[in-house]
Amino acid sequence: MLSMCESQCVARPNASASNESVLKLLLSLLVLSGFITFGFVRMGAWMVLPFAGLELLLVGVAFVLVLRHRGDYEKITFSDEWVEIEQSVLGEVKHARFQRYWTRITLRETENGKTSLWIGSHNQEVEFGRDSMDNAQRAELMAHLKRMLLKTK
Amino acid sequence: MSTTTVAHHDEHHDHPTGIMRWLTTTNHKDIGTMYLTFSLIMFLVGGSMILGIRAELFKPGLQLMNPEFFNQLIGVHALIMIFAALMPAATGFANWMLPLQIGAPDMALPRLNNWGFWILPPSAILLTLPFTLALFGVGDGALATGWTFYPPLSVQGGIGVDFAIFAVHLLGISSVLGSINIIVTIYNMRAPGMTLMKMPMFAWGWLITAFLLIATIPVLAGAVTMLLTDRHFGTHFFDAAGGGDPIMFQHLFWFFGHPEVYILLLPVWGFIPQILQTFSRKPMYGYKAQVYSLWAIGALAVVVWAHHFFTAGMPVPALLYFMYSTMAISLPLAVLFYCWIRTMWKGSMSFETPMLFTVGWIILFGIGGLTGLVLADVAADAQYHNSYFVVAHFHYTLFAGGIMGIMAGVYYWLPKMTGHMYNEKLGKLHFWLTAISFNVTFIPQFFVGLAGMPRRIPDYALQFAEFNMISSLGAFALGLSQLLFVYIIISCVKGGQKATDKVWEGAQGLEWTLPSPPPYHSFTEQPVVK
Amino acid sequence: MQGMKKLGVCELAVGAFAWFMSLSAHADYTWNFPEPVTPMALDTLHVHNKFMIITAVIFVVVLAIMIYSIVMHRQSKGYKPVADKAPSTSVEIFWTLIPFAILLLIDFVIMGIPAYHSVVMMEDTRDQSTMVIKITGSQWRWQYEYLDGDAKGIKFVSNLSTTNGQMHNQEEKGENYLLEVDNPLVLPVGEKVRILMTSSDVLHNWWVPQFGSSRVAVPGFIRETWVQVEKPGVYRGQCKELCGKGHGYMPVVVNAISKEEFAQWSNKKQDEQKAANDVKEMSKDDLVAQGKVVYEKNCAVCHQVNGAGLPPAFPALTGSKIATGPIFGADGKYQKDSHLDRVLNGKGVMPAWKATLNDTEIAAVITYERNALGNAAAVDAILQPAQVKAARE
Repeated sequence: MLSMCESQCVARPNASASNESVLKLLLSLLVLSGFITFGFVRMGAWMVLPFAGLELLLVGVAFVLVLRHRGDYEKITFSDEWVEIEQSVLGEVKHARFQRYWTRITLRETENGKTSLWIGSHNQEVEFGRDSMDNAQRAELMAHLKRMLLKTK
Repeated sequence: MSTTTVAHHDEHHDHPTGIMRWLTTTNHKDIGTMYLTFSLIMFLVGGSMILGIRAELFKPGLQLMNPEFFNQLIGVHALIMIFAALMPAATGFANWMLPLQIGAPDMALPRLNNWGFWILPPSAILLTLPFTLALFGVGDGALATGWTFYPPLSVQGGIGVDFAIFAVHLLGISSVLGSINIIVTIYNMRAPGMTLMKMPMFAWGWLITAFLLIATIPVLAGAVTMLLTDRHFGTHFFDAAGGGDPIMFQHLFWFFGHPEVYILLLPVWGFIPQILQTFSRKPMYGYKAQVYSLWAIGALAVVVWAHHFFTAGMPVPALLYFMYSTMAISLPLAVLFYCWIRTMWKGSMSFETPMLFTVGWIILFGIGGLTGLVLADVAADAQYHNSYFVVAHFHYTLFAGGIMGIMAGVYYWLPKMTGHMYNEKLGKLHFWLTAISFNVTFIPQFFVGLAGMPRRIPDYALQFAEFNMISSLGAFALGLSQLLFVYIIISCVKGGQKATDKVWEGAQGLEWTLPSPPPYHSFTEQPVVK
Repeated sequence: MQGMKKLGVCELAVGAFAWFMSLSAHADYTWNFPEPVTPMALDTLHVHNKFMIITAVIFVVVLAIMIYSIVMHRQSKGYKPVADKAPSTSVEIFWTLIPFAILLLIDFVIMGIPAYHSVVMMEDTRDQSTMVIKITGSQWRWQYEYLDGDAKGIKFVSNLSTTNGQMHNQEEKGENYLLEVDNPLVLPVGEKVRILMTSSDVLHNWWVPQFGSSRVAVPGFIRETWVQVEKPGVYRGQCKELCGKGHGYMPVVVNAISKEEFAQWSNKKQDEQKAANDVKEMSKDDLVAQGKVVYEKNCAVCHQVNGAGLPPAFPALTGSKIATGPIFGADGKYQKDSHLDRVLNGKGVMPAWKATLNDTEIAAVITYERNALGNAAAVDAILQPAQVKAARE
């Protein structure tokens, strides 16, 4: 998700699942699989158990991997003199600040066909929107940022 | 100035091309394309196996192959068609269309998605490798137990069984990875405003499919692992002499195997209403009723498994329970049929190829469903069971209900995926050839089954000769017609009339708001569903 | 693999023509279950016909509605779609409950109630049964054993009797191609026969379509079913559980005769069996001659008529160490893994024959294998029935 206004752009990963709904889902899977596995173990087919356990673990891990990035955001703020970048990954916030006049933006292609957007000046760069945006969004943001930077010059 | 992620970026990376692009891609459209291509190839492989069978059964007597090879072909045909043709096709559509339909930029776990696909080709190779090995004198060919692996026959079998067990493990892992990805995507990647009850029906079909897969794949994995240890490590899970029970395998197998039928069909039941509403120019009828029916079928799917082996003997209360619960499946299914037909009713219908396939699908799948209702009757099942009647029944559900549904989906979305219109005339010809030759193949099998021909026999009594001959002729026509399908797809990918964004006049849904073909990464602006 | 004959276009055309010709020739063309001869099969036929009519009516009505809609409501006729607002929940529930209710009635009343009675009838194997037989499936033949009454103790094996030549299209196929056996099961008409079913190796399923009963034979377990044949005649069926390469070659043939004829038959069979069980000294030529018959009936499926086998699953007998090596050790007892041990007790895919073949047959077939099929065993060339009998103890 990308929201842009004149002097601030915020990018967030897509997140439509509430904690409650995910919990309900995992619980229902646990109950369903547990019930089935319990039945078969009682019949003597205990080998179902490790597979069911592994699989439920995998489902849990997948949700954790995706959901823990729910609070992530990336923010670019323009002030008269500075371009400030705030990136929050898993609650850890990183700041970067570049002089607005000297800030350069580049869009590069990476190996897997994705683009990557870099913002920086004086030989220092920060990557922006690696996971929260797709190529088209990055291109759009790039255009917007260029426009914003041109205004100062 | 405080910077943490600082890097020097001078090197320039090329967009990977050729095989590396496909091996490493995490793009949902690339992966969807790979799934669909793989499915088409395996459909042809599995199909040519069964044409070998039909050639052998063309007339009484052994003409082309010995019984061992015959038994190998039938089992591998089924495994390939189910696990390597139908399931990947549904997963391919999910990869392509789910993100588009729910307004997501990609699947939630792109790398997992890539692994999920690349497990498939090795497992297909594992399944078929024993055929080749046998040519060089290694082992005695592929799995010869039918796709159901029933012990003790499978304990007795050669290395083909071991290969098939490993292949099934890999296919199971692939399905689970795909399911997890789809569940997470549907839960977490929907566009703002798209509540669960506003999701496209296809997403519902797949969500329930993924549920069923997660619930049942461990049972299959456990069952085949126990088979493996019985074969090689001296356990006696399925050996009466060691305190085991061969019938327990059937419980385990069909506990997976029956839901598997719905796993194959639920995605199709998801997009069929979408095709119907497009070509009836009228919103689908009874969205809620359909969603609840899908859930009801999903729930019933895991409690009816033993109707696959009524004749194996079980107590009367168990027989009655499984009979009535199986019959109960027809209730939600009747609601679904009603909603599908009600969607067509008083619409403004036009009959492009996807609609032809859909209407044909409703009729033929209806035959499969109704014969299934009859099969639920325990006493009559003693006659139908393992006869050609059953063979005809499940081909009406899985070829007509599964593959012809997938074909409807292919024609429906092909212009969206490639940006070109397919050849409409050839598409219609393909439909008529398929529908007619399918019936010529399988209607005689109903009769030959009633007359008493068991399935999985390489040679048969003279009284079955005529029906088998018609069936074989139908099968060859059916097989040849699919070459036309391949031609239509290839020529559509290569070029053709430009498709508009909306493609179909009555199309509804987010995927039709994107250009045809959609950009490599889908939604620039997050669409908002009201 | 056997010779890969190509199915040419010409052959297809000939085949199609032959089919049209045979349409007129086969007046007894079957479109439904064959004529029922047991109460169970009759019940099944009624249930089947009733259900088929119900489902056909559903199908035709629904299809007619669809076709009407397809013809009338099409864009090419200028039909405008009704402005179908999403129906309110209650309207939707009302309409969708109609098909639900119809199927509820059909499933659990019209079909469900007779189905209940059929199940109870099918599973009631004991009530009023007057005879018990045991059927054992093994790869790839049926063994029948009469457990009570006059016929008590009668026990025989029923093998496919269709010749190899017919299967490989070298001979004209007989009328009962693949549905004929050497020793059919003989049952008295009108008696309710309780059948105990088991297997000695893999799953099999004993099925005669005209009887309407079929049951899986599970190794290590006894399953039950019953038949009550009400019309004299010969009834044919097949194994219908995939049981390996001979699955298509283990037919069931039942000869239903009157009670009087059955009594005569069982007396005659009892005498024959007694005679066969008498162990007597036999000459080598007699043993080899009888062994050839036993071999071709029981062993040639896997080890082939000429003894070449089908390696690796089915080893060759010609030149085999087991088939030419010594049978008896110094102590006079048969050795482990000797020829006799293998035939009696089996190993892996090789079935144990001690329950299937009698002493004379085992002695004969072993002698045959050691002196024919290109073998000429130097030691223990001849095995006498008495030796087999001793070995069993």
